[in-house]
Amino acid sequence: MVTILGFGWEATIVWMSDECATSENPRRWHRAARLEPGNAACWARLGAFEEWDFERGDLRQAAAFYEKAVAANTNSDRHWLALAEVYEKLGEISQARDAYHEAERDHPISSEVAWRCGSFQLRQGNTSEAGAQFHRALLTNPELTENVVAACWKAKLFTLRDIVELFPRQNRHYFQAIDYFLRLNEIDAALSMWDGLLALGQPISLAQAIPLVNQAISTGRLDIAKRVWRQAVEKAEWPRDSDGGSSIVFNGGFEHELANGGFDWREQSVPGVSFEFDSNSAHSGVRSMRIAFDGSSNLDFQNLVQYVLVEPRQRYRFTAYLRSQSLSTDSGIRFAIGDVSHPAVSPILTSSVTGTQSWTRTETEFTAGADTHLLKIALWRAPSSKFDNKLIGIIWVDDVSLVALDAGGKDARR
Amino acid sequence: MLIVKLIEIGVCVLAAFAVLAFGAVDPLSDFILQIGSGGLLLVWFLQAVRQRQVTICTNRLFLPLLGFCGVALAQYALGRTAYPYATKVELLSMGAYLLLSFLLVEAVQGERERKAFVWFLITLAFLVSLLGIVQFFTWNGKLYWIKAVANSSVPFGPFVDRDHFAGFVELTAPFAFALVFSGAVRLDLLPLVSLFAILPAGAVVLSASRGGILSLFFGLVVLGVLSGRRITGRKSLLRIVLLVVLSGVAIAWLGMEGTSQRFRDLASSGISQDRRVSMYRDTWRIFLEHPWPGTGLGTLQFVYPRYESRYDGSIVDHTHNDYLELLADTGIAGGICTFFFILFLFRQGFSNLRQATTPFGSAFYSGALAACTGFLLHSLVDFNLHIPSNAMLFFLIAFVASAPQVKTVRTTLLTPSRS
Repeated sequence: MVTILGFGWEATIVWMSDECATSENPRRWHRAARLEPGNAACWARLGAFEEWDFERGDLRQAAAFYEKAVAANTNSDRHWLALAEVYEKLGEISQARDAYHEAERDHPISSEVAWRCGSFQLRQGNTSEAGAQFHRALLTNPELTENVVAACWKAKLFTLRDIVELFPRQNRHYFQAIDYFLRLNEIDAALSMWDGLLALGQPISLAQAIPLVNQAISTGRLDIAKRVWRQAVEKAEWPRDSDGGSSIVFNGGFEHELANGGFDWREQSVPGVSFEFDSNSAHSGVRSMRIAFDGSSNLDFQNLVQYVLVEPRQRYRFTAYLRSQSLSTDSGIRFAIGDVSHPAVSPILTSSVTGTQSWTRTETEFTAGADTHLLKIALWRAPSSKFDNKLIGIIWVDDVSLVALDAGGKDARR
Repeated sequence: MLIVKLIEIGVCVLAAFAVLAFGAVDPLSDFILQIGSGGLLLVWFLQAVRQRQVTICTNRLFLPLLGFCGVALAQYALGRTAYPYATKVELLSMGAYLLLSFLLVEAVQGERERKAFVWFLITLAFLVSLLGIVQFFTWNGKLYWIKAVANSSVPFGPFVDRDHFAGFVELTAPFAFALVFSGAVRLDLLPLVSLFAILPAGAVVLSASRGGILSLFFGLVVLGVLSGRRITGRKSLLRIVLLVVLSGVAIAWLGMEGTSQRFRDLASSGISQDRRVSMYRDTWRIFLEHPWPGTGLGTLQFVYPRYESRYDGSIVDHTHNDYLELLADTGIAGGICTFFFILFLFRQGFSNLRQATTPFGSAFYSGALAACTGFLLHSLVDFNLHIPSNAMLFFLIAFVASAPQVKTVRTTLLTPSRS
């Protein structure tokens, strides 16, 4: 009889404690802890309540509750981390350190534990211990890379080289770091990450390098853009035109997929326009770029663009081949070549193509300005001012080239 | 006697409640089971006091189970557990299973009571499977169409996980098959019992629980072997062939595509193979470092992180192998108790089967042994012994199956003292 009653009593206590602990009312949590002092979760909940109640919370009381939690269950890394955090807020650094060590002992592989221990060490200025913890965190959770980089960068205790050394030998850490620095517009820091990535010797895709190249271009860091692009194309084994290399337009014949960034063509989608490669119609090579307009609007079209590096004061010949089918309106398709550094200067325009025309060569020559380093080559259509202005039809583009000329007007590179 | 009948009904009601209450995985359901078992024991005890005698049916299976509980109790009392509260919670559950098993053995002593128990099991299996099938085809993301479940779980029927449903069917469906195989059912009830066999089997296949399908299949193979001697004559064989064919048709009709896909892709939803292997390896390490006392019953979830070798941010609450988890929790002592439990279960179960003189008797014991076999096999890759409804059913079936037919009854007379 006593056994039965004892059994029922204990079962009731455990259940009531659990009921109170899961209530939304903090007063019931106290009751839960009193009913079942061995339930660590109750004490931890009380501790969290005291810690995060900014109006009436008592950090000392929070620490006391967390201490009861870890006494009830010595194996919970979460409770030890919570206790460590409270100790640190109270200024009890030595006790905080011990608590972090306990958390680490209870869950050595946890990236969460390593990250928080590392952050603690960083706040204490212990860079080598922080670094070791961060490295351990990144081994099991690469998604923490940006957090780690941000923490180390803002603390100003780590050099870029130190940060790179925290990374496990995997590309994704470096690319996450590059993305972070690009958001801060820290091109040089991003470049350091890039150099570290190259030193790994692991394969990369061109698309992964494009954000860095794009940002370098947009911020005028053309030397960096050029270098990174060249390295990325080489590393990714990206195909290049096989015309002897005299044209500085990348993929001028559209024989390869577009990288959509960097110094390759950028295809910017717009309603009413479709882009595709056409292997049935090519001026030379295997295919051309086919652009179809559905006649739904009077387009201001500059959606096929490439940035090209040029030498100042150098004379160039621009050539492209266009073919059209039923291209409507008076405002035809042409190329516009603009100086990125001087956007106010009118671009150089080639002759336009309208109606139905077979492959037509369009060409122009110009001399780059004294401080012109970067050109924007765009396939362009200005809006028509006529009543019948909605653009419909198809245009094919192929063999776009920009060749430097010598004093005699000949290809300077041949 | 009325009280005995009430106790049998009470145990069955609790079992049904546990199954329907999502496997009794939440604290309230667990509490109701524990209080219910205590209440029924109190009723039994009061009846014994009123009659002034205590009659207990002995069952050798109690020894290892009591030994196991003793190990856990010693861990708790001596502070040899990593988390005393968790051990206490598990001990309360084990206590409930022990009490209910004891009560059922007391209540189910004749063939009539065993028949009632079997009908209860197969009817419950049928109804739960029917619920599962209907819910599957009308799924709105909620159990019983009202209770939301976590995104990570793959529920079936009233269970939050399809593997738990499969564990339930492994324990109950074999009885229906056994009745048909052994010719222990009247001809007019044969279609009904066949349906009670086919539907749960089809539901398990529909649930796409790989461990469940294989375990149920294995259990039915064992049943076939055990029932072999009862299969005499063409009619018996025809019955069985028809049942098997109809089961196949039901399975095909319910849909094999999802199940086939799950078998093709071992890493689809749920735990990957690598994760499973790492859990087994880490749990083995826990056992090696705590061979004798174990870490404490119910403490694996809290001890495991220290030994975790493959981190993905998720919490390992069970190791998906009840035997490894048991060894880690209770050490060699608990392992020995488990070994003897299984040994006694099958030894006494086979003995009862050999001594069975009626078709129903044969069906009952062969069905029970097949159920326990399939369930214990599934425990190699899952944790059904930690799902209260399934654990409870397992112990109930194990104890009733191994209760000696030639009863050894100890009677203690309680007489008022005369001065």
